[in-house]
Amino acid sequence: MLEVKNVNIDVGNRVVVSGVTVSVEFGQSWAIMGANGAGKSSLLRVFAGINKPSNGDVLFDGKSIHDFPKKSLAQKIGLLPQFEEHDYWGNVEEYVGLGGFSRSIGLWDKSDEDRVIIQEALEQFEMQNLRGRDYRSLSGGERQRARLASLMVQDPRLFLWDEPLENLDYSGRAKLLSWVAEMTKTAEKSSMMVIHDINLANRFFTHSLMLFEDGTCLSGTSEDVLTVENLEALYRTQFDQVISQDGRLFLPRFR
Amino acid sequence: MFFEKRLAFLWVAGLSMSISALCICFGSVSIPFKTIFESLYSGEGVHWTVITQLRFPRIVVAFVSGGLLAMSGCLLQTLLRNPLADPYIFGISSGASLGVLGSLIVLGPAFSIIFGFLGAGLVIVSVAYIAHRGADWNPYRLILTGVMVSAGLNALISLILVLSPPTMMKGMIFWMMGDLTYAEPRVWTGFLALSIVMFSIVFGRALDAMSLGSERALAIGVSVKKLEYFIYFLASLAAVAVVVEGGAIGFVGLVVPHMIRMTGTWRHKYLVPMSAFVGGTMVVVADTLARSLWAPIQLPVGVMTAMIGVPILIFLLNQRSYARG
Repeated sequence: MLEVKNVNIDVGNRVVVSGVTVSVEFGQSWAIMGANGAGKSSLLRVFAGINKPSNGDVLFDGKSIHDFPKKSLAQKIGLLPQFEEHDYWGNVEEYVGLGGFSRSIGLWDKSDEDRVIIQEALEQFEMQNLRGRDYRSLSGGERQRARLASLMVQDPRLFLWDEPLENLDYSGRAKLLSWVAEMTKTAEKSSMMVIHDINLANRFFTHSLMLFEDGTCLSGTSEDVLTVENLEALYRTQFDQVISQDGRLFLPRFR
Repeated sequence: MFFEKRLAFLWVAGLSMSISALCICFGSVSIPFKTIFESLYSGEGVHWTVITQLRFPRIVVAFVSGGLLAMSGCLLQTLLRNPLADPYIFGISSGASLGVLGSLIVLGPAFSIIFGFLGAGLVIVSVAYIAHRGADWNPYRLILTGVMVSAGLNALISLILVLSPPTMMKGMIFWMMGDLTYAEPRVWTGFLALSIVMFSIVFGRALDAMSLGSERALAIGVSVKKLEYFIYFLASLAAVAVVVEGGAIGFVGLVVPHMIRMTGTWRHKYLVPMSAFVGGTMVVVADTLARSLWAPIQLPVGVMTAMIGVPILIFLLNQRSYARG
């Protein structure tokens, strides 16, 4: 459904990403990996149609994403940026509900289906008790959960997450990752996530996209792409591969 | 919840209208209630003339001006995501003042309003143009551009004031602080105020979403660029409409939206219309005080708005709800 054709991103004179060609289908869950500043966030913004690439095309169901009206695009592709300006005055439930903006028509802002999905999202991310709290009064991890819930309420067909595991504790991470894995398997959805944890990527994601510092990239199934050789090139760190009962594990060799 | 907000809104609207209406009694001479009703009934006499020719139009101008300023400030705080934004942050008042003062000196009072419009219009266009050059505008670029443009214009205004004949200087300073003495009610400003109210109700949810930052707002489907242009031109136009008639009445646009947010209303479809009512009342009351406190001497209304607004805001700041964040 998402076809990325030969996308280049330049910032000033610097080539950040060059020649990314990826095809994302329903049921796939992608991990996006790369060193700091490798262009992961820029690439996600291009996939979401927020920025235009310097070169190349991004198509959704065969149509350029810039040809969709904003609201209809938001129902197909949803991006949760890494950072957000916190100028928000409302409570948690209203914050989460804003994710459903693309379905609002004129003066009618919330339908009954919206209320159902808001309730589900609050439960999924264990925010029922916080629903009436001021968003500003939340801790970092609670805010992150509210943000995740707002993307769930948006309910796009392709979820784009930019480092969503930041600020989450272990149970929060496990919940998010298993929910995403389950959702992409059962519903007609797919997901792409920027993630720094190789072992989580290996375990929860069907596919991986590696962005190297020289601007080149490598994509394919996680099984093929996640090898010691590729990881060492990606992070310029040595890794050991260990076989455990849950499959393979990669351990960085810190000197 | 829904009905509570509506009820609160009706209360604010009703209360502010009644306070404003009450101000008809006060001025350089107080007219008792009974006399007002009598003269309204008879439709003649000195009081009738004072009420219909002087006080009523003045209250209407003050109310509409205050409403426009408060809504303009509110929308600009949303656009710039900055609590210090007010209707004059882009230098609109400076542009209008330069136009008005310049034409007063060179051509006399006949063309001052036209030149006020010209000056303000030039500022609106050039701030948008400069902030856009080379890159997309964003809140930081817009604020800095606006502050620079108004600083430059203010220097020119100071120059005009220094070089102008002393007989004219007092009037000029008076006008720049905000003065509704020569302001007249106009149909188009009322129409503008109504359209801003409608705009904020229809686009309320998109305006709410702007506070998530432009990236997330775009991602959930808000046409951020279009909305930003709309806000920019509507808010600027509102400021111009007030400034060319009544000078740069300060403080209303900055303070009123905060007052309302502090009391717990933040969704734009309530926040903006409520700002209009509260802002309107604040200017009516300030203007009435300015006319009657030292009668027959009139004070600039801008001085009174600050004197009313500052203590209220400081009081609310110490309340708990605004303390965090």
